[in-house]
Amino acid sequence: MKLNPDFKTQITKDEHITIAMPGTGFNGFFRTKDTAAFIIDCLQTDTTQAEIVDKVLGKYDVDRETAEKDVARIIAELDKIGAIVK
Amino acid sequence: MNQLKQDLIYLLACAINGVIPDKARTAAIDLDQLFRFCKWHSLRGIVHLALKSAGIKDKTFEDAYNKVVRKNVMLDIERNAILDDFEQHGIWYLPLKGSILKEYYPENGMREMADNDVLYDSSRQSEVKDIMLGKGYTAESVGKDHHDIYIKHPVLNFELHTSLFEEDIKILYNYYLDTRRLMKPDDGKKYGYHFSDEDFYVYVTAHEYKHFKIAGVGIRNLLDCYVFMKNKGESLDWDYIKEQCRQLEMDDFEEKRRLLAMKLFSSAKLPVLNDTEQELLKTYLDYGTYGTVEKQMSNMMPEKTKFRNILRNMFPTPEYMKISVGFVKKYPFLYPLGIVYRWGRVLLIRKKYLFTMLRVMKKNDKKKV
Repeated sequence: MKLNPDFKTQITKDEHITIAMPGTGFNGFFRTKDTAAFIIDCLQTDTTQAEIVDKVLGKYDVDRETAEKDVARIIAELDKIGAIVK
Repeated sequence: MNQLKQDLIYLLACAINGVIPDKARTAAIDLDQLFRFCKWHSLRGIVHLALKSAGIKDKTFEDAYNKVVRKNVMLDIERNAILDDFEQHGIWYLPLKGSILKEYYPENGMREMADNDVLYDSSRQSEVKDIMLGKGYTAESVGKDHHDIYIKHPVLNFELHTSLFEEDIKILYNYYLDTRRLMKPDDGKKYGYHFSDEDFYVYVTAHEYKHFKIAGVGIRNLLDCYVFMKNKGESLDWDYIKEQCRQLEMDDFEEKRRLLAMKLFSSAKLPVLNDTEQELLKTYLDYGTYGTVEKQMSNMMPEKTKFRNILRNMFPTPEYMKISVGFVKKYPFLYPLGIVYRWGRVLLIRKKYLFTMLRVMKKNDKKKV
């Protein structure tokens, strides 16, 4: 899976802002910081949920169970608005 | 100055300086009226942030702010993609105005952008057109003006400039005829350029001055000036800036506008303004971001009598005719045909323009009595 190419992220003033380009049906945007921004970054290239969890564990001081929950939650949220292609 | 205008200035000064507005004062503001005024002045985003910090939640302001953030990001992403293509094709480019100014504001969404302006190598106009059409844009206007307009609905609007000013304002046009002398290469880019901070400020001031003279400009320009000064003011070479402004015959304007901006926004407390400053501030508040048609027409009718103004409009100067009618720009000897075309256009297509012109003439007549 990876981030839908119609969803683009811009880093500006220390914020990661992800928007959908016109025609995707999603007219909002979401701001992310730290872990969520990192997960979206991981999704820029084709990957798996397990690979993202490993990357999160490598970068942040967090236990596997929390990392798995966070990654699953953010991916589910992104999936709901059509931001993930599988 | 009425309460609404004072409140707007107060909220802007608070937001830009990171001060939380007084809750009681903010709660007393008529938000519908404020929203309309902010919309006209392209200030909904920054005012939303000021209201929010005072604990005032308003959905209309919040929606508008979200749109500003999204649109700005979208324009940034698109501009980067377009300029990447320019790089690959070896076409030089220089981003202008809002896309640079907005970066000096402390938070995202504070500075609204209607479009994106970029100066580019005009000798590559047809290649640029192919690039833009390839990206799904519609060419709204190419080669007719000093900027080409490309649109992708619903919100993307790019003004790609072949020159910075039209010939009608000779002094600005001549100064920027060879803009390349002022351009500095971007780090890490082969074809990307930027102005020095001084030349950026001079250009933004010249651009504002042009609109100020023609149709008026809104208070956002004063805020832009304040924000730029807050970020760069102390490091600028003022001898250089003053000399360029003198050459452009706008030194007086530059100084008065800058001093007013600094006085107005340096503190949340409304400053005491002298008569000249009050008069200048009034003009910034009375015309929205893009000025008004009435002011523009009033400026186009400087003659003392209605008859002379009608004559002036019927037989404009050759320079103005070139801007007004595309085919005269290409073939100046068609000036007489341009006269017929202009009046046919006014009578058949632009009736609203005619009525506005008559209204302004009537207003001007009353002023003279």
